Amino acid sequence: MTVREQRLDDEAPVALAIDMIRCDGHGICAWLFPDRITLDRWGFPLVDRSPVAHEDRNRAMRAVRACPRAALIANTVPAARTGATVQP
Amino acid sequence: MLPWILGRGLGIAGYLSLFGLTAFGLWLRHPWRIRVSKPAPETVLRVHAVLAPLTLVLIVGHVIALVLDRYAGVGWLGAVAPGGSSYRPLAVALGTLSLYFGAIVGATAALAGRWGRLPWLPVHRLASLAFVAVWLHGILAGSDTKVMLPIYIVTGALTLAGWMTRRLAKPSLTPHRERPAAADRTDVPMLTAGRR
Repeated sequence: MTVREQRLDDEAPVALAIDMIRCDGHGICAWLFPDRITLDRWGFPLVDRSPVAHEDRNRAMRAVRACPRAALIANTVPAARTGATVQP
Repeated sequence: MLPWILGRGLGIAGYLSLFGLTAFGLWLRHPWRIRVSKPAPETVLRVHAVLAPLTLVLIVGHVIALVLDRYAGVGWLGAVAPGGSSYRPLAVALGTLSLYFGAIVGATAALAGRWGRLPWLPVHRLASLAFVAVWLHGILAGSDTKVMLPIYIVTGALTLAGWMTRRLAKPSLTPHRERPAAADRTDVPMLTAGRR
């Protein structure tokens, strides 16, 4: 599931992605979440696409919400990719 | 005399800090930024973000110092209510309004993403209005404007040039050719699910 506007499950692991067509290079994502988002020499974001650690999730989601062009996207990650076990 | 000197000094320092804040903000998304590699966009962003609270502190200090100066004729009412000053009411009102504009611009940017999709960017465009108000406030309210006029002219002209070229200039194509297409970049994940 990809999220721009709708709410994610609060516990669902997420990975960030960027829609380069929408992105205008405002850079606030890199300011809010510098651990995973840096800027290239033109001011556009370079996003680490690996799943976001649970403790960083709120910062990642804040960066997603702050993007004025809604170009930063949080994708839910299947449990198998995060290595989490699924309870029956 | 000390509060007046302090107020004047903090006001000038606050204005220069605001000029830097505005200049770095304009440069962040200026079409010409792709022609030059220095300073790096992250540096520009950090300087812009650091200058914001510095400017706020200097301006608040400027206001407090002039309020405490019994001879300045501003007082608490004049500082918080536009038109409430007995000293050059219009000029002081411009300063008060610009402080409110600046506070709104700064607060919405600082809270971006904290509560839903706060529309901080349209509010951020008020910064242009705030700069114009501060510039006029500096020229009209300062009792030593003649001495400061070259600084106001140079900083005002540079800001106007930056603002206009940002709106009118087209980015150079050459650096864009160097820029790899998003599809070729391993470091930028392409949107997949969002356009299904």
